[in-house]
Amino acid sequence: MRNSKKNYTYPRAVLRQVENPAQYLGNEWNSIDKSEQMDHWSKKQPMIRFGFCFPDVYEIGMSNMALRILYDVINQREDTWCERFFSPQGDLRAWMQKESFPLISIESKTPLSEYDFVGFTLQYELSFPTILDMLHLGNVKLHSLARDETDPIVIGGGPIVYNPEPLADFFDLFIIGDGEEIIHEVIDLYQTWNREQESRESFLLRCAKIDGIYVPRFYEAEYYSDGKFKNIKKLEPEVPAKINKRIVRDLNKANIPLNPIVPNTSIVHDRAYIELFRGCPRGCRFCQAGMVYRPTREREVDLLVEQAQQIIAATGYDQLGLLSLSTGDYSELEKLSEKLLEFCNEKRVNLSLPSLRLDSFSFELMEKVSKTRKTGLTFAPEAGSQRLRDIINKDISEEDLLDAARIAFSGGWHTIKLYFMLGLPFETDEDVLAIADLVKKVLDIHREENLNKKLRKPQIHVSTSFFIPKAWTPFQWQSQISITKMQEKQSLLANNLRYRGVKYFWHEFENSTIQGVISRGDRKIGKVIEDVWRSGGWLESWDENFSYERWKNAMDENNLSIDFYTSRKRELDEDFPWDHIQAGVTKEFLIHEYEKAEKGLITTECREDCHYCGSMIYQTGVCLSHVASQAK
Amino acid sequence: MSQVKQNEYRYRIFYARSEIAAFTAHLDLLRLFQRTLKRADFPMAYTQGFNPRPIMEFALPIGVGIETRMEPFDVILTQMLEAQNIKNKLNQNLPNGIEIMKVELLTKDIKNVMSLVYAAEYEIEAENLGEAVETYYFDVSKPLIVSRERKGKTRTFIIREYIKDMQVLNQNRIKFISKAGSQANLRPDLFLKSLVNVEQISKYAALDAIIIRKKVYLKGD
Ligand code: SF4
Repeated sequence: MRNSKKNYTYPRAVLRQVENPAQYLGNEWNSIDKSEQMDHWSKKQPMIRFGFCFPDVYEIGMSNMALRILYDVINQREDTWCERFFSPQGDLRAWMQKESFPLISIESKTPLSEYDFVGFTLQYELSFPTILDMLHLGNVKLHSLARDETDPIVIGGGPIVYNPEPLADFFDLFIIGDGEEIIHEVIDLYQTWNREQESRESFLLRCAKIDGIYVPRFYEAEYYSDGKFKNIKKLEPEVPAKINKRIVRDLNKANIPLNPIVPNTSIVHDRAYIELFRGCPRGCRFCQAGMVYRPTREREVDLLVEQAQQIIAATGYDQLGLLSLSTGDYSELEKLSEKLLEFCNEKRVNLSLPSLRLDSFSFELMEKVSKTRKTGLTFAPEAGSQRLRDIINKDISEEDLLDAARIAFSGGWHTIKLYFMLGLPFETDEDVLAIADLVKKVLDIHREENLNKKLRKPQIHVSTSFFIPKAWTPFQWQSQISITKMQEKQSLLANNLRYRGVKYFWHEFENSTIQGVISRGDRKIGKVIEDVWRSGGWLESWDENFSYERWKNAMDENNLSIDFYTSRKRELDEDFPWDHIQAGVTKEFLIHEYEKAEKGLITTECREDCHYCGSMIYQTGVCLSHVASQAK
Repeated sequence: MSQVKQNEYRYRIFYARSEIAAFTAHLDLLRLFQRTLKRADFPMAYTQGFNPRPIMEFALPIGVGIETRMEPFDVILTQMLEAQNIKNKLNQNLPNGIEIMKVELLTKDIKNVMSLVYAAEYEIEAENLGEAVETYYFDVSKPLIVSRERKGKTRTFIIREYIKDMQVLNQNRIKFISKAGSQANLRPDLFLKSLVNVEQISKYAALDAIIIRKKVYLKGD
């Protein structure tokens, strides 16, 4: 059934009636077409087909870095063709459902069910119902246990794979950590799989022995009668009790996509990207990415500049973005930006800088970059009071922020965006009001500066989102505030932010609650996701599609309580459904951080001191500097 | 390759797009060509102002779902390059479905390409379209109008006033020249709609039609 070359086309009449049809048609510059090479492979040993799925629409998925990297890495193999799948928009989806037209790839228009591998990137919790939707549209059986030797191997990976349990029923295997090396090992192993002699089960068992691979079917979760997670039991003696995160140790040697696809229609971040480093040295206690991407590993300046030049030449993009968790922390940012600016000016490319640190160097840099245009500046103090910033270990002082505001206003910027979180652990009303105070102080700075020199009217955009406790962070034991409390906190802030020139943007609270349920969910949540999808849930991360009712009903029907997953405070000795997925940091370290948070003690960043988080075992990146100093 | 340092050279470039590229929207196509020109690394002239863009002008907007065969757009380079060279290099850098057919360096009477457009030739294939034209369109006693709403205003087109040289190629295929450009312009989908309105072709036939703009007529050609 594989390589049967059953290619589909969308009828013209359909393309003329859907919005932005170009998103389904591919043929983009740098997209990979291996249809001719496919003929050279024999029936006995056909080319391997990998369907990379992004559980959202094209314009969102196409700017994703994981997609760009894995598309490149997999397609470098001669024996495999990696193609892309996205969720259709509502209009096309309705037609597909009516006509039983399958989900097909962007490249060869082949149905998802014909692929050897179906790989999903897990980027945000609310995309999970869309995963089921895409499997269903693609005629792939939803449940791992229902699939047989003729079905694709369904793989998951990505930034939120560190608690894969809510998806355990639907995936055959998960890749824990950086995927670019493991994926080769999985495909290599697949090449040795002879379906006539070996069952799917036994092939998956072999996969489970690859370091960094988690095959959920070989584990069973047990619960106490009160619903709490008890432990995970191995069902096969050979599988590892704990699955360790794998990382790419040397980013300078790692693949980076030098020929990324240039879409034919606009996407959210339509530009060239270079990835300066992986990981973040700072250790904000709420941030999952900051914990699970440790240790911080940088790329070298010259390599980055070379990559930027190659990508621009290969794509024709006129915008270059810098990618990493906290770009301002790149150790040689000055040298890098100098070299990039030189080349960007020559080639007429705009360098877009993400939010930087609040020091004077950053401002000089922004001056150089923006020249004539001074668009908004973004700062993320995350909490209003110093007390709370210490608790969450966000290393920004009020002084830093106000100094930065002063330089910004006097330098001609007038729009400042400030990001905060509400519902943080140990937060009181005073902490919420401190946000309003801080904003007021920023306005005062403007007034002072305006006395010296006539300035444009200030525009302060304040945005708040709600804190969601995440697995593998020091706050994984914390309770998430209820919807009522979210409303209260939001109105408290809104009532105190009534200043001229200040705009307040807030977040939906209901979907924060559901994200909270999933992010610390167990295997029982899988059924809830399925029920939500069955009752029409899909693209739930889009506000217009999200329905709290649907989630609430699904929880009720499965006799599960939202509060149990969100607002319940976990004891420090509670075992978690995700404990067997080793994200690199140890539980001891997280507990220690949690206790420091309680006391309002900060933890310095990795480059200053090592706090023995557990990532030393990877022997790379920022940890190495401490190994060296210890050796001395 | 002859290169003379001078200020500005206007090149008129003609492209074709086949069905797989026909569903790219006008603005997306503009960006696609800008990126192609950048990949080809030509010495482009840029617009002035805040956000300089490479100068590129399409003769006539192109609707989603319409193929083209010889569609002109202008670019301005700051150095003179050989036309053949430009054509080859662009073709090496274009995605599937789009091809450069011809490149000309303009030397006299240089006018903005948009201002020169006065007509366009279309070939359309749709179920029973030839027959509908034969029996209905050619019978001038029968009314053929279509109205289109835009920004709250309704405009009515008397179809035959916009069309000359109508030819029936077979039962399903026709070819015609219609007024085009900023003065008077008839979109081919409106023409099809006018025939749907009088029930000469089905709505589905109109939606499923193959529409090809074969040529754009420029004054002075
Ligand atoms: S082991 Fe030390 S240096 Fe390495 S990531 Fe952890 S805290 Fe940072």
